[in-house]
Amino acid sequence: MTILVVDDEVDIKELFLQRFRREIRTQVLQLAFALSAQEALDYLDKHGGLEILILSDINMPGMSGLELLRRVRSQYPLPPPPVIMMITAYHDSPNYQQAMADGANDFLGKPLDFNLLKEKLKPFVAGL
Amino acid sequence: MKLTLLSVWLYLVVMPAFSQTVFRMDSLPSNGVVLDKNWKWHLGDNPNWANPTFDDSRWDTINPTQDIALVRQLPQQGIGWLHIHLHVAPRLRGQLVGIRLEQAGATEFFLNGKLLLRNGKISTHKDIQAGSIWSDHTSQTIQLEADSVQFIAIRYAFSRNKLPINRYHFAFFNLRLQPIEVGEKGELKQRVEIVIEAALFGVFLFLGLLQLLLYAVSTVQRTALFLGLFLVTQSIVHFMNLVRNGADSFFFTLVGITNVLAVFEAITIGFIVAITISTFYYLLGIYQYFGQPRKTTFWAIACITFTTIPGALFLNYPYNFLSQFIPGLLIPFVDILWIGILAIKRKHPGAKLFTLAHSLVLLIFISWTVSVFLPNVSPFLSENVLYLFSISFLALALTISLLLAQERAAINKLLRQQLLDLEVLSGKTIAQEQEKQQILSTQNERLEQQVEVRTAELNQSLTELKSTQTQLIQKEKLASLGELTAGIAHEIQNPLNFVNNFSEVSTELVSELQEEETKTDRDTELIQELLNDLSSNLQKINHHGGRASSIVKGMLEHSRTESGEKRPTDINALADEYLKIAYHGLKAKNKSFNCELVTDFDPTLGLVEVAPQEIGRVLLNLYNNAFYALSEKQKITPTNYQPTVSINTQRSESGIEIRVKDNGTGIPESVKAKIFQPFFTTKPTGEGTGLGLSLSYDIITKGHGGTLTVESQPGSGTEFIIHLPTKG
Repeated sequence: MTILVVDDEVDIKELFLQRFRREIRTQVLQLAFALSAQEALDYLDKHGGLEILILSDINMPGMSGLELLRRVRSQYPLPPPPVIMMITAYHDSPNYQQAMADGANDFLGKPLDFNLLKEKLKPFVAGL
Repeated sequence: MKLTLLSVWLYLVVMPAFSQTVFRMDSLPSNGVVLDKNWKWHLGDNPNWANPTFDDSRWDTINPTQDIALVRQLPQQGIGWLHIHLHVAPRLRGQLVGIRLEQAGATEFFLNGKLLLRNGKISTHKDIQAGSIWSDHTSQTIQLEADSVQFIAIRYAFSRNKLPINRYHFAFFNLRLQPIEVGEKGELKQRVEIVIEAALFGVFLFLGLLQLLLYAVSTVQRTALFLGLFLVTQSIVHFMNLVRNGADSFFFTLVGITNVLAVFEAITIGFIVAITISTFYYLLGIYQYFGQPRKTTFWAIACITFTTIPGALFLNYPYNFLSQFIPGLLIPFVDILWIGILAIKRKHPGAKLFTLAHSLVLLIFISWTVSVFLPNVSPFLSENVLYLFSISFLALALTISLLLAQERAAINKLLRQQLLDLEVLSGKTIAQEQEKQQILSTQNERLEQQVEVRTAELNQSLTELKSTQTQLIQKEKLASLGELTAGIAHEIQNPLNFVNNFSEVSTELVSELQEEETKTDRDTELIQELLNDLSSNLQKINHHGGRASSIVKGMLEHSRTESGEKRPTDINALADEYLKIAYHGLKAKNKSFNCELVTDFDPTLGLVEVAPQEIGRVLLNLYNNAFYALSEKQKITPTNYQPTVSINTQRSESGIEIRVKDNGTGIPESVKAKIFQPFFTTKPTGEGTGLGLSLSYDIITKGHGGTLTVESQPGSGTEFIIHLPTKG
């Protein structure tokens, strides 16, 4: 299982790598990173057949996370469709509803609670 | 006239046959005997010619009573002798008889060789041989001798020089013998006439000059001028009469006039002219006095006067008399009478008295005219007409003077009244003026008070407005702060995310490290890795903590009301920071909004001396406007539209430029001019204060001495250009 983290913040990569150090070491999951939605789409194009879970920030320059969500939902109807979780600093109700309506599997706020994230990933990642 | 000519002709033709015939004087009637025939004439001068024994049979026969102009034998002037032999009736011999003489020169009268009389002065001067005299009425007498035939010789110096008019007729030599009483009476009458004429002359002249003088003092009374002139010209008339009547007695001998005919003619002309002008002024004066409008009638009568009276000079008696006095005087006098009557009807105060005096003159004038033509109708009138005339004229002159005096008194009274009225009026005017002045000053005071009150009110309003403005500016700042909050929250959440998570991870790393410490076979590689991570994490915590604190600091700075101090600022960083804040702020509100942010920062820009929060406010405002324009355009162009905001910084000649460009809706030309005006907004009510761009404009232009300009194409986008000057 590969988790693609989409965020324009560069340090997010280091954070995730450290947070999931054990899981990576035990090869429970793999991490991939994209600094923009477009990069994420490119990644998906390249690694289309893999089992990918997308964690995407919403507020990003250029294409937003929601747009990415919509595109993935419309362009990658692969069986099984990728799990997509949205992460945003604006964890308010309208944002949440919009994300869920657009086909998000879950919705997380910033600052990110990794324990909660891991709980939410458990159903999708075997051995977590 | 024809008869006269005929008789002269007969005389000249017939008489030579009866030469040496004598003139028979059989009686001496009261009107005398005119010696009009049997005269002999010879040009030259010889004392012997006075001698009765001198034979004058070869001398010319002449009738000297005829007009001097018609005596053909005569030169213009000279000396000659007249002879006549007089047969005296027995009862007249030795008697004293009066003589009446008309002559055009000077004579010496010889009876039977003896010099009896001198009339005038015969000059033997080289050039002028004739002294001159006009002898008409005299009481001269001669003593006839006892002889039946007596010899009269006249030594005669004459002059025929006349004025060119040459219409007045003079006898060459007219000798009338008459009873002495007649002559005495005639002389007395003449003396009286002279006195009367002199008196009239004096009175008229005095009264006339008085009126003219009074008129000269005050030119108000035009009547005084006209009637004064009438009186003066009338005095000239009387003067001429005086001179003419006194011709033989005094003046001519007195002044030794050498050319009697010309002088006499001149006097006559003067007399006629004076009468003409006098009549005209009389007419004019009376019209003026009674306020009669001078219309056609007046001028017609004036014309008649001016043409007929002088015309008398060119006509013979009695035609000249008719032409002169009947139309020339009678018509204006009757007209004046009529005007007087009209004035009486109008109850003019002086009308009655004047009309009475005038009527008297007119009556006597008519009577006189009648008496001239019909002397026998009333001998009394014929004899005394002169006195009556003089009295009436004097009465008229006095009446006129009296009326003028009355008029003047009335005028004076009127003037005095007017003066009084004027004084009263001017007093009133001054009072009114003072009142007005007072009202004016009161009003001025009131106005000043009102102005003060208003000014105070205005000042109050101004203060309130200023405070309102300050409040509005504050509100605008707070409004933009509000807009920021969401963006700031996001901006803080991101660093907080790292701070929280890296510190948590670090705690884990530390516990892992401690765990590893307790192990006997320590994985030094792992320890090293953990320590590296730990170090890196701490750095990141520090970095993101600083990031959060700088965001908070920026927010605080932004909310500050006073203008910030200027300090060297990294414009690129500032532009970028606020761009993010603005963008995220908008995103927080409008999730569906998305746009491309293109930044092109000139890395050589360096630090620029600005008030960062102020410039930040401007940038934020421009960004927000750009995003708004994009979102507006997005609403109307759903597909194939990539909203973009481009930020560009660059050096310019005198400073730096920050360009904020969007491809939004653009600004219509009609709006462009107003966008920097305070309270102008295109946003729906409640969404914008309308102060954003106005404040931005002030910050750039007043605060930094720069310029804020806009370039826009409606429908395709807008670019705001901030130009900031740099020192040096």
